Amino acid sequence: MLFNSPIFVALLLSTFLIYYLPFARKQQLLILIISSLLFYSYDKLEFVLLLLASAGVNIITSYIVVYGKNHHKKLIAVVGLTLNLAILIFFKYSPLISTTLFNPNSSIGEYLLYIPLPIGISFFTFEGISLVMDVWNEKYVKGKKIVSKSLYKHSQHTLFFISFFPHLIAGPILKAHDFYPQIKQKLLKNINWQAVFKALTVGYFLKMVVADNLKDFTADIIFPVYTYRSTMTLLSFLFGYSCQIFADFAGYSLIAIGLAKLFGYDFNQNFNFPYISTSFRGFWKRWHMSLSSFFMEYLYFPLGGNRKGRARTYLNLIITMTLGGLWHGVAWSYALWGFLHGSALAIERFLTKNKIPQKGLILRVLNGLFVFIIVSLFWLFFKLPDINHVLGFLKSLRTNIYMFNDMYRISYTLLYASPVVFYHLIYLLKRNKKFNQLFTKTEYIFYGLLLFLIFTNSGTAGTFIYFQF
Amino acid sequence: MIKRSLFIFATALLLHIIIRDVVKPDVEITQMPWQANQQIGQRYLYSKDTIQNIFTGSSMSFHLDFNGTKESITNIALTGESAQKGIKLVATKGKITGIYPKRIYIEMNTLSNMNPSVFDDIIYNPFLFYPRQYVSALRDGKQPLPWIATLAEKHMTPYIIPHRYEFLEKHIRYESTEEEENEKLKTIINFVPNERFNKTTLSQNQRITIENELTKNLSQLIENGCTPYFVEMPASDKYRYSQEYTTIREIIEKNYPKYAYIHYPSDSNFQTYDGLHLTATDSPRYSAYLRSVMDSITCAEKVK
Repeated sequence: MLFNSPIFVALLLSTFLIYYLPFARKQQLLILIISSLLFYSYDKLEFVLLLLASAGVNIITSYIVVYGKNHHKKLIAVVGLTLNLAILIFFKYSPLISTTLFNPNSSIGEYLLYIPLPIGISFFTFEGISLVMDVWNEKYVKGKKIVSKSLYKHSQHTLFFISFFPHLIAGPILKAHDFYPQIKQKLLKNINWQAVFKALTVGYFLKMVVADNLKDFTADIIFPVYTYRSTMTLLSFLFGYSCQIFADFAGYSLIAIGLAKLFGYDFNQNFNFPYISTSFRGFWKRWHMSLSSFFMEYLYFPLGGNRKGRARTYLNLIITMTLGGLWHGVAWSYALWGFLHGSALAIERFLTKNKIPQKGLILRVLNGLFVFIIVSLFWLFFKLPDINHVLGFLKSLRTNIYMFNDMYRISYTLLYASPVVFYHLIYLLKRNKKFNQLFTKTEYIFYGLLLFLIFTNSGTAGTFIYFQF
Repeated sequence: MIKRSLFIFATALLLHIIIRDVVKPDVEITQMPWQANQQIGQRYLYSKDTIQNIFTGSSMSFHLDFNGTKESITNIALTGESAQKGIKLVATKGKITGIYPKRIYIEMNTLSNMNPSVFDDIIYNPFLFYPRQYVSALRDGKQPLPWIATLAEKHMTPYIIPHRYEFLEKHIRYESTEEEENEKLKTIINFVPNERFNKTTLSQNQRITIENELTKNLSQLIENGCTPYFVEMPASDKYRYSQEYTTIREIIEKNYPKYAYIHYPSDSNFQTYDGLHLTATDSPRYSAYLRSVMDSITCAEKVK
């Protein structure tokens, strides 16, 4: 179910109305759980069972880790973690295992190849892992355990944590210690309507006007179509795709944040204007922040982080990013994408000794451009999962310089990519106090115009790119 | 802040509607092929004219020219779709307005194309379906940004991005060898998926789905006095004698035995460039043939 589909709007409105009814207040969690399960079951009913099973594993293991006998705790935490990973590997990576380890025509190869991919599995299993790890590490919030003593209450909380529909299928990835303390009765009067309005307007604008229109043009980054396009046309597509993937995912995250706020819950920011980054490290602190911090907290630090010498730090960075790449998709090209980012991070760390130098404006702009160009080139591994096609694209950039520029496609791509540029530019300009004051006074004009464009200029509803992950 | 934003939104929308519906600049912009289908569909759906003759089909009949027939024919063929979508459009319009055409010509070749598409999602969007009926500014082809893009393309981009780079071409142009070009062509030909064109068989389930969809909408048209005519467009023998085409013919013969089925003369030798789509030379030739058949139908009905 897409956030911009009429059926979702109907589900949202009905859930919202019932949720805040005075006599339904005590059942708020149950209302959101039912609504979330309806949301998830819309595309394929049978996957709800998997979601429930995943929640079940995490309810039981986390409860035993907290309230079970001491000598069992470690074993149970390991079992919980293993089961979460097993679910993820079985449902997500079977096709990759089939094509890599088996003959896809053999009975086992064929069986693995056709295991269906449940939507959002990478997100909800990671949230389960976060719960098990948090209780194992005894993360307390204000001195209180995040797991309730009542098993019924804990089951309800955990099912809600895993299935809450704004984040269920494409994040942001929630951490148990951030979310559980928020679970309590909510009141209509406490909604921050302005924050909801801003998040939803910008989110829907980025998704429906920017990403959905851009996707029609960047669709040409596909073999063999790109071999017929001129260098300048291909460069505009590459730029367009960078803007599209940002608008698609940042838009989705903002919608999720806005929707959660409607029900009284706060999700952390997931994108912090990543394309202004002047370093790869900075980029990963601003891009898909919930995933970056998840990998940092649950993989990079346990591997040793930067505490075991420089060589080990570089290796840890590369391992973390390669696994992060593989998390994104079931193809080795995603692993290569992660490896390249990991290598870029390691090289940067080696060259700068982990200090981002404060240079002059021009150098910072050049640095920012360099990072943006490299990040954009790396996105090719997302768009073209066949590595030969990526190489073909790069070759076309060189060889097609003499071809006729498709002004029609270039104009449209640049036009629909331009809001992403303005979005980042406004953020930078807001650092100037006078501009910030002026913008704050007049921002309603922008929000009004964004609403107008959502209403009159949306593209065809495309699936969110990150749904596949 | 929210109220003021909503005020700006309402003002911008009002201005847009005034420009589009009152000033009416004669500009309709097609951003992508799917939008051309929307424009055709919405133009028909919301037209207040009484349209008596409709031709519905796919890209196979998109370029057919019906100018000069005794009674005007409106071609609502949709590229990438099938006549099923067109029939549904006519049925929907009938439900809303009670207006049905006298005749509907149905291209039967692609009736089996039941692939899901976004066409229905956009045209029957529950939030926009009725507003579009009254506010033409909300219809496809009227979006504000493509308008700006078209202006930008015409007036600005040639100065910013020259169409060719003489300097670069002269100094760093990459000359590919003939071998490389042949290799490129070979990989392209091998890669292009031919599934769509190779589909020449239909399963029993597919047959039932096609039949149900066709009869559901067409029965409504017939009940309201519309006469269907089934048109078989020229195609190569591979398709013409395929199980898929035979099944479609069987469905039509079984459900609509008393309605005319327009074949094309077997000795006409109409040429296609890919087995399905008529060549630029033969498309007008076939259009002329079809016009003559349509005129005979009109005359025959008048005599009755």
